[in-house]
Amino acid sequence: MAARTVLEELTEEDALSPEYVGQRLDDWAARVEALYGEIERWLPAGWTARRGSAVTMHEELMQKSNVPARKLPTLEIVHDAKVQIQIRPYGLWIIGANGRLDLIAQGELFFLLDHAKTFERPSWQITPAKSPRSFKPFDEKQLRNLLRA
Amino acid sequence: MKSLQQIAALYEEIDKSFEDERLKAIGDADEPLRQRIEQKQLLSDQAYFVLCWGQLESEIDDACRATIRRRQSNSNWDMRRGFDFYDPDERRLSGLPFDRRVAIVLDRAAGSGSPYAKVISYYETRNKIAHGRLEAKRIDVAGVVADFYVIQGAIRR
Repeated sequence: MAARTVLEELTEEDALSPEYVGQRLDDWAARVEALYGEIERWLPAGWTARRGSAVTMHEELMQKSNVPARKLPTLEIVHDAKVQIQIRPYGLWIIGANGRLDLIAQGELFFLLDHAKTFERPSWQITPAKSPRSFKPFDEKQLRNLLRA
Repeated sequence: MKSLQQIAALYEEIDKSFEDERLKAIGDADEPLRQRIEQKQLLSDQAYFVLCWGQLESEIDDACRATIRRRQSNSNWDMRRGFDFYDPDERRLSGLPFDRRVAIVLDRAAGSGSPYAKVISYYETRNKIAHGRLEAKRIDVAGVVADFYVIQGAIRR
């Protein structure tokens, strides 16, 4: 399948097929799951991660294509028996990113955005919501900075 | 695009206040409120996108008029030919659809991801918003503004 941006995806064709929308959702769920797995591997001793309550995803494109709502898991990062960081899938079809999750750490909101094209290897970037263009690659170092904050 | 920076700054200020409200709604587990705020954010994205689009469209029109004038005033017929059909002083540049105006100032053959292709995609986004057909969950307006400046840099007069 040809890689393209969400902007191209939403404007090059009149309608996307339900099958295609389903494939995009499967890919999104797999990217979210892989990201959670990576985060769990990056956690230092004393920190754990667990799945929190799921969020329901039923975006406009899914509704128009008669694709049923899906549930995606959230991730809670725990230290000293307290949830320190919460990560929630926000949305897939965002003009400017191939999906976004919200990361809440100590009451501050961050956006985790995939800047890769559709069906490409993810390129996760993080930026504070209060400074939405200050992107940094989201990697082990960035996660550890958040844990120290 | 003299007002683009101001529009982008105003958008950012408004969206930040929405994000503060949304963060509180998530903390309070108030799902209906969170959804209402997200709906407002989408409408705000679309409104500000259209305002920003107007700035780029005007830039393209100005560049197109400048190109027509320059080519019409060229003494070499090879440079002038074809351009005398258009009146650069006419307010709507009638007879020159938007995609052709873009093709006069940006390379139409530059392929996927090129400034020309992006302008056409953003034009379709603007049309979809105007007709209530845009399926995006959000528009990264700050990212769009950054893209518009790249496009501006590629425009030839």
